[in-house]
Amino acid sequence: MTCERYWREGILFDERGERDSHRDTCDDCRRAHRERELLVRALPEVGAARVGDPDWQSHVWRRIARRETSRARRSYWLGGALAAAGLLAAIALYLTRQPPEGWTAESAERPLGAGGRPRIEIVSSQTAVRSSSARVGDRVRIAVGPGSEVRIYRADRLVLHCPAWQTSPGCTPDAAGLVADAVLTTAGDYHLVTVTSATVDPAGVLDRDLAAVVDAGGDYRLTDLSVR
Amino acid sequence: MRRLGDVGRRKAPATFDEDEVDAALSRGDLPHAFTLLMTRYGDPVYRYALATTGDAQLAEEVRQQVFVEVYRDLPGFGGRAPVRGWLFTIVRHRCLDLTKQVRRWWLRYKNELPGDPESGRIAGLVTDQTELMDQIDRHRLAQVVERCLSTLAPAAREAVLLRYQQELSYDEAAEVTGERPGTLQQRVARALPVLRKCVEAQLRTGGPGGPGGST
Repeated sequence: MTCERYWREGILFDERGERDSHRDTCDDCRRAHRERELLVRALPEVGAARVGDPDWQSHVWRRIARRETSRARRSYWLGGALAAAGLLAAIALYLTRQPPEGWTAESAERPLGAGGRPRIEIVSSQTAVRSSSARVGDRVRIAVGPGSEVRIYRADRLVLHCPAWQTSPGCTPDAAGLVADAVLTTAGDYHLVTVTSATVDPAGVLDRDLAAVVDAGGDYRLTDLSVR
Repeated sequence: MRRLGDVGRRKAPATFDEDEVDAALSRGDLPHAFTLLMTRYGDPVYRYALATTGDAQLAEEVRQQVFVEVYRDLPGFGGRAPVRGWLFTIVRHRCLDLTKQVRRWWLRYKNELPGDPESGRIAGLVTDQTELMDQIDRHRLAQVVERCLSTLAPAAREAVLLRYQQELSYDEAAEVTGERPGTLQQRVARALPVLRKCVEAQLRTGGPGGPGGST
């Protein structure tokens, strides 16, 4: 007959870090203790070979970016509700800065002033408006301040990169910073990113690039744009 | 002197320094502190969530939700407590939340519970003392143990995982769960014999790494 005392009582001594004098004189309990040790040694290895999604950190950064964006939007609306009078004044100010109705594509070509940058406009064939959606064939114009750069991604892939101060197709430095101008040729989800203090070149994938910006101590603003 | 129960305890990788996290936070470098935490704790969090929920997708979701939450709360955390305990408190809550959500979904749309493992059935199959566990290596034993963890009651599984998979002290685990250390010791002391019986049964019936299993 074997002694079962260890599994009933002796094991609790082990969990408490106390000495069990019975075990010194009982072979069955010593063997049971050894089995417990094997079990306990195996537990840190549980799941060790399984690491999950190798890109999980990128997903986390992306969720954080989305949350920051939506929080900024929420804060905007909440603040507006709490300060209705202030909001009215802000709207009045905002309207005075809006392009007049019927603003033509030609008039949209004029340089954007330094005030209110970064600024994003969708330029349709008829009018220039602030919007979060656009149609194929429209253009997007993004104006940023000095030292900032613009990146445009479609389906999370970089399609236009305008480094600060540099002239290239679609990228025009001006006295107030830089203006990026691109035609939206394909339907889908675009991500418009303005980056201040960029210290690293983009690799071309949205998540990684945003993470790299944050890692390098930079800051960015992400705007989603749906093109139909 | 080595304490009983410290067997198999592993040190954190040398590359991780909690002081570095504190230093990064104190100079306002949140991204760096956060990256350090993801690098150090990403895998342990996933493994704990996987062992707790038994579902790889759910575990991944837990991991990502946890770190989004950590990023949000890290500036206010300010080293008030050990990072690991704080982190695993969040992990525990997210595991509980998501597990409840999944159970509710199954009950509402399938009118049943998600795959209920052979709870309580395996325990008790083996009645004689064996030394089968001595015969297999740790990795294969870990595979069997992983399967058997699902036979434990959730509270017992949680206590075992925090104590021996994540290697928290009982005091740390008590902070994470809100239980008393003595309660957790009792739970572990009751859970390990169940686990051991399950492991022996699995090995006898040719579970992973058993005498009849493949290498």
